[in-house]
Parts: sequence; structure tokens; C-alpha cells
Amino acid sequence: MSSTCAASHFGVRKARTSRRYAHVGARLRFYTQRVAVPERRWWRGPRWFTEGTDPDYRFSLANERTFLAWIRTVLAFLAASVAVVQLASVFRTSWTRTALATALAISGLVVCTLAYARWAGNERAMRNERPLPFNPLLLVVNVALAAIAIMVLALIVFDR
Amino acid sequence: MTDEPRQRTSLARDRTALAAAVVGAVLIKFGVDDAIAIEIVAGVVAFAAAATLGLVRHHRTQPRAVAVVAVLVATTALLTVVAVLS
Repeated sequence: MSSTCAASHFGVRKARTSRRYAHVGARLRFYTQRVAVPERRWWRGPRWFTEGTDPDYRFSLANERTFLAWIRTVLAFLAASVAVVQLASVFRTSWTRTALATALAISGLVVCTLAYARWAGNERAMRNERPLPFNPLLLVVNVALAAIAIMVLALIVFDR
Repeated sequence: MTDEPRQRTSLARDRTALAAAVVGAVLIKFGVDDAIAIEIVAGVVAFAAAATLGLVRHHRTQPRAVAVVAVLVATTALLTVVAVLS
């Protein structure tokens, strides 16, 4: 009777011990297993595009539409730049036209770069369920347009 | 294609391509540089076509197409700066 109890007691202890250290074995198996990692191809998109979970597709498409609206703003900047160079011949000094056109084209370049950064930042935040990050795009466009407006006003008043 | 967000996005892509074509025409008309105009029209119109066709099969945004458009328009802006200054 006593030997049976001892055996059962031993068996219980053994089972408890193996359960206690089961996570060690599982962890070792986890770290030593061979995982087939798919090769990353550049044309499948940026690496962060596989992070987190897919957001609601309506949000992704809305994000893309906002990006496209910024691209159209850039195209308007470029058209204005070319129009100033080719059409604005009312100013006395020639360098003012060049300065204005350059300011417009550089604004287009900056807005285009920031538009992509904004799209990527928003997309990444949505995938990882984080709040949307701050992007200085609105501030940059406001400052650039205010500077250009002051420049145009000064040219119209003083340089005709 | 009864999905409204998809239709809206498709129209936004087409509108962007149209704006690119208009800017390209302006650039050609005023003779800034034919290369810039051809690049912007071809690149962005190709994007709109590819993305619109891709939209039929995928409901997700295509990150490659977005990056290509950003690079093309940024390059065009840079070339415009060079053309204006030269």
C-alpha cells in the first residue's frame, strides 16, 4: 500500500516537474525550428506594408485620394511656375519672374515629397492601429503660399 | 464596381492623370522642355491606367504605384526648377 502511494506520489511529482518546465522546451523548439521566410521583393511594396493588420479598405482608399489631391496641387504649382516664366512680362526686372517661378517650382517639389511621407505615415499608423502622425504639409503649403502671395503683391505694386 | 469608395478613388486617379496631361500640354506649349512634359504625362497616365485596372482585382492601395507617382512628380518639379533657372 505504501509502495503504491510512493509510486503514485513520485509519478505526480514527475508530471508536475515536466509541466513546470514545458515552456522551456517549447521555447527551445520555437527558437530552433526552421522557418521558411519568404524572400522580400522590392516590387511588392515597402517592408512596412506587411506590418500589423490590413485596415478597412475604405480608409486606405481615402488616404490615397488625399495623396492624389496633393499631387494635383503640385501640378498646379508647376503650371503656375511655367506660366509665370512665359507669360508674366509686365515686371520691369527680369530676375523677379525667375525668382517667383523658382519659388513655385520648389514649393511643388517640397509638397510632393511631404505628400508621400504623409500618405506612408498615415497608412503605417492605420496598419498598426496607432493615431495618425503629425505632418507639416499644411503648414508648409500655408507658409509657401503666403510668401508667394506677398512676393506677387510686392511685384505688382513696386515693379510694374 | 458598385463600391462607392473604389469608384471615387478611380475617378481621383483619372482626374490626376488629366491634370498631369494638362500640365504636360502647358509645358510643351511654352517649350520649357519636351522631356519633362513627356515624362510627366507618360508616367502619371500610366499610373492611372495601371492602378485603375488593378483596382478591379485588388481593393487595397498599391504602394508601388503611389511611390512611382511621387517620384515622377518630384523629378518633374526638380527638372522644372532647373529649366526655369537655366
